[in-house]
Amino acid sequence: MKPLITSYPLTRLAVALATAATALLLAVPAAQADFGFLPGEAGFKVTATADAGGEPATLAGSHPYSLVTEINLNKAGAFSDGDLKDLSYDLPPGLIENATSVPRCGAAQFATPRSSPGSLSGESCPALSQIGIVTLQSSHAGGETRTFGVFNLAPPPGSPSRFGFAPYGEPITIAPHVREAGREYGLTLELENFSQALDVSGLRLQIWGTPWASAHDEQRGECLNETDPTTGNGSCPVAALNPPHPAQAYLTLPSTCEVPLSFHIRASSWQEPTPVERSWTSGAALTDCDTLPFNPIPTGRLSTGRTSSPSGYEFTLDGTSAPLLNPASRASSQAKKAVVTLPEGMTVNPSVASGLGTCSEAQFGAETIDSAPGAGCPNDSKIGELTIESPLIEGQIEGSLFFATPRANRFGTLIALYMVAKEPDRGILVKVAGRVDSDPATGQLVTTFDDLPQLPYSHFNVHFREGQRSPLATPAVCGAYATEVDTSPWLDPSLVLHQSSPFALTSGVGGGPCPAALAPFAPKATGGTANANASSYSPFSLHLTRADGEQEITSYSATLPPGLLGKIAGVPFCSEAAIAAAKRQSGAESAVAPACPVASLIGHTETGYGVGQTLAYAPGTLYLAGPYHGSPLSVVAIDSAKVGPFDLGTVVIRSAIRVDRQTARVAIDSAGSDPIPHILEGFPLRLRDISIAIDRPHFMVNPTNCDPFALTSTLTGSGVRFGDPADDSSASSSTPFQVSNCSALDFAPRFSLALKGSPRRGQFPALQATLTPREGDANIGAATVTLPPKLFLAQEHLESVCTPRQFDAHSCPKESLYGHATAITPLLDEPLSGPVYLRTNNGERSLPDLVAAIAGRGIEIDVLGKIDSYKGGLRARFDNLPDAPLTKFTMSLRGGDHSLIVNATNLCDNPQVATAKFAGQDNANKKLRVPLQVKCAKKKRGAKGPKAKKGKR
Amino acid sequence: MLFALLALLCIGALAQAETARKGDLQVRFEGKLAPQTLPRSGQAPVSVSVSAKVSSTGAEAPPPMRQISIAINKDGHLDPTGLPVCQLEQIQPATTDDALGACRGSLVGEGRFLANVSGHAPFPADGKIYAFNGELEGRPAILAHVYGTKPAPASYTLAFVVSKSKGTFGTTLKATLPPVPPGSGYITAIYLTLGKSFSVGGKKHSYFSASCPAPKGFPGASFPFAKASVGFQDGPTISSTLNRTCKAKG
Repeated sequence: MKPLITSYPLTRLAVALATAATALLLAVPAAQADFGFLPGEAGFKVTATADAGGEPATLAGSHPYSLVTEINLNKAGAFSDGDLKDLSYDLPPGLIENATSVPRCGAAQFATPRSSPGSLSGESCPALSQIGIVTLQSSHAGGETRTFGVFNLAPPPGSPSRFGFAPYGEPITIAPHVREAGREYGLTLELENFSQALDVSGLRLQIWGTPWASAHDEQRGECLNETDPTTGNGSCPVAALNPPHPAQAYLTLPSTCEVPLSFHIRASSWQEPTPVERSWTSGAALTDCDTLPFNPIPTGRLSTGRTSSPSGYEFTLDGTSAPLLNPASRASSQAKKAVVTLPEGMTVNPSVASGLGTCSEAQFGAETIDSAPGAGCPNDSKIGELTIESPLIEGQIEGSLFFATPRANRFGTLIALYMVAKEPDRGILVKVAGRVDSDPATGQLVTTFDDLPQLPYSHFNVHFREGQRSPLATPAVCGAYATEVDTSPWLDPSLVLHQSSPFALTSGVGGGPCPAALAPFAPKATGGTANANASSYSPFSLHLTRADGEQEITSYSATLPPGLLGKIAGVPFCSEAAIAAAKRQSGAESAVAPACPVASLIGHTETGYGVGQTLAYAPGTLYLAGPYHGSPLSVVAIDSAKVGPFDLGTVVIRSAIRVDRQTARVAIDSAGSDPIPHILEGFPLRLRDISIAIDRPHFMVNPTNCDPFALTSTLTGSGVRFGDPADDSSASSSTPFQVSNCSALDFAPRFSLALKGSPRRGQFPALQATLTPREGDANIGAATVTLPPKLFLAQEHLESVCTPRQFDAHSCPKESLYGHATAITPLLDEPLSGPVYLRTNNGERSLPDLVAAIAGRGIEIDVLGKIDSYKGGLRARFDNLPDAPLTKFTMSLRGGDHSLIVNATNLCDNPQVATAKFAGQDNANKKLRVPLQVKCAKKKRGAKGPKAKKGKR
Repeated sequence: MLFALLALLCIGALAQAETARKGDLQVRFEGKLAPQTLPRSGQAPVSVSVSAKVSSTGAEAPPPMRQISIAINKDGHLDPTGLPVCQLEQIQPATTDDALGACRGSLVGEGRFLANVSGHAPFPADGKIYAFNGELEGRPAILAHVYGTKPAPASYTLAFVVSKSKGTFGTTLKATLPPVPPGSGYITAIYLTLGKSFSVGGKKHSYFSASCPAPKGFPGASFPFAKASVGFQDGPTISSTLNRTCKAKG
């Protein structure tokens, strides 16, 4: 079957219509067919014409002479097989209809039949509002085709425009709406409720590219003679249009040359609601894209000119509307892709995470033209606003910028944005997703929006909110910066237009002067125990802060006050395997199922990230762990690194814990500790606030010395360049620390000395000293033991002495080993024990020192005894003993060839008494007379001591 | 005659101390015989004082002594006959009081001991010497006992083995010291005076006795009183002959 309405040049309308009518009369009905389109292009065809002669329009972005849509339906006899009810017609993306280019026909005018003779049109719209013509074949006029004007009407709610015609007095309106599906934006024309009385079997809709073009004068309302088309349109009087402004283009072809124009149509009848569909694709893609203009003007602007501050950001892409409206020009190509690169140093502000929600892909999908705020993307995921101005639409299209769910977005990135703009009154819904890539090393942000709608805009503005929780943080240094924008047009997405939009930071934090190139570094470190009573268990807290504009903290070391110790007895180490597992966990996993056992838990952390007054905080935990980088102990901080919606995994920072060999002071050794990260997955942490609480019950124990001490801290700043230690800065801080109520502590240690071996003069006994402090007493600060004068130093045995270097290298010669010592402390599960050496002291004292090198669980303590004489007795002074609780301390010195003492009298005949003086850490003193315990054989009767042998020579 | 006497006095005065050196190491020897007036023939009780002070003119400390030898002129005689013999184990180790308590009857002299103790030298830094008539390994000896409390209470006994020989010096006292680890210390000075008068069987005896070897017609004589030597650990031996004068009577 031939089509009933075909494409033909309008200047030959009469001839064509006559031919069509003849063909119609001669046509033989086919076999009974269902409602539907005629086969092939006879059923559905679309042509964009370049001129009145019907030449196809091929130039991309051009304003065509007209767009002609021909639809022919199956017929049953002389009438269509089914009565057309609805038509839905998808125009290709980028094909623009500018309803603002002509005035609207009022509702009353559209409802008032034309009064001109021979007119069958039910409207009386002004000629200026006409945008085309429609030719119908229906049961009216005996199946003859008749042509009617098509007019721009006031849009109904939900549509950007509307046009209509009123053939035979039956008003038919077409309401376009913006189609958004699969990132494709285009217009869909909806013709609903075709009058069944029309019994339409063919339709030819011709929309003019420039409605006020004089070429269409012969087809304007009064010129159309629907009653008798054979009289010719040219015979009508043409009234002057008297346009109020130059003619503007109504249609604009897409500005892409990639694929042919594709149209799709669906039609349903009054009898059969299920639509039939048909597609039409033009033979070739549009051409000459390379000559299309593409000149968007980007502007990037911060909401602050201050360094290291929270900042909003406004990005604007301005376009020109003139070519779009000028019939003689080709419209500028629309941006398909925009890549916005912020300057280095301009990073995500972690503070944004505080209270920030996320929008899931499903929620983004649920954003519809009429969805209520929050029904799609949650309100708490909103981080900015969006406005679009287009010459095609009166007013602005407003929208919101949402934070997409990290990683679970369509890009799989940590950061992604969803833009949703809607104008319900015009049926416009714009939804664009943008991916944000952050440089893993610098945090520099690159935002990419692809497949932007081909909606021509004159002003496209994205506004990231400002304030304390603004999403961006400014660089640390004043100066000129620029947003780099790369845009690619729809006409050829491989083309890249690079432009810069400069801005400047002109003041420092809080509006102060610009910081120097090397930012200051004056962090604060404070800490202390909650309970200040001496010898008490108490939680210990440490608080590190830095101000915005200062260098970032990269490492931390601290030395606790003497005597502030941790009781690690009964606390297992978090294993290496568990620590490794913790590093693999997400922040959420870490929070729910920590890798380290709770038995190893010793405290908690809370870490604040961001700039400005509002920080985002992340909780963490502290575990006791084993040796690390040469230190006997370590503490593992496992931070969930889940700041608001940002789950950056876990941050595992292992700090080496050193115990001073002389003082037992506990220190966090930054040299052996992990550095504090400043960026994770391209997310600069801008760490400002670290709170550490070692709050395991009965873990931290206070000193028993009430002297004022200090918690000393040294923090390292990042300098100018992260990762380059050469320019790092260092800052020290000292926090006073003092416990109280030392006077409430008792001090009554017990002490004994026992000699083993022969008690006779000239013999070399072994000596065992046993110190037994009482639980709860003040810890021992110093001990002095003076042997009786009749015990000499066995100097002949001082043959081998360890040097300090050998001692430090644990390589003392075995000949320098003179005994063994053991210390039992409630702080450790196992005793500290080790050899006792004689060690040189570089001549500081006449005699070598007696040093007990005791160790346990990796902790090494040197107990230094200085040997001299006092009132004729051999004296050993142990000064500056660690302020640590002891249950028992024994020192056993060898006898025989390695004895350090020699009996200068018979100890059984002359029992000897030593003296021992102990000073508590609280300065209490205890002096003891200590009888030497000697095993004496029972004296035989009449036995005499040795006497001078008299002899003569 | 007057000139001769003045010359003798001058020589005597100048000869009170002799310093001998080798390299940076020097030893100042002193010796004295008392009384100075002695019989031209026969023996009279005398006391003999000898000292040696060790020093270095260089930056390094002197090495430890390993040997001390004092050879006495043949005109001097050492006679321990009748004195109790003190055994080393009676006085070592012992405080001074205990040593005297054990061997007071054997006491034949006193002195002083000074050392620079910087490590684990086997002697005290300072102490009074009490010399006892004794024996060492069966040979007659003078046991010079030192007790001190600095740097630590300790006692030390230098055993001077007594031997007789022919020649200018008839009696030699020789002590050997144990090796001392380098840097541990060294003896800086030893002062020792020997001499004791005692009775044996109602007859007076003198531990040391001497005559003045002045020819007839001469009021006195200058003679080689003693020859002292100090041998150093891994170093030289420094010796000096001490010439002294005496006045002859009879």
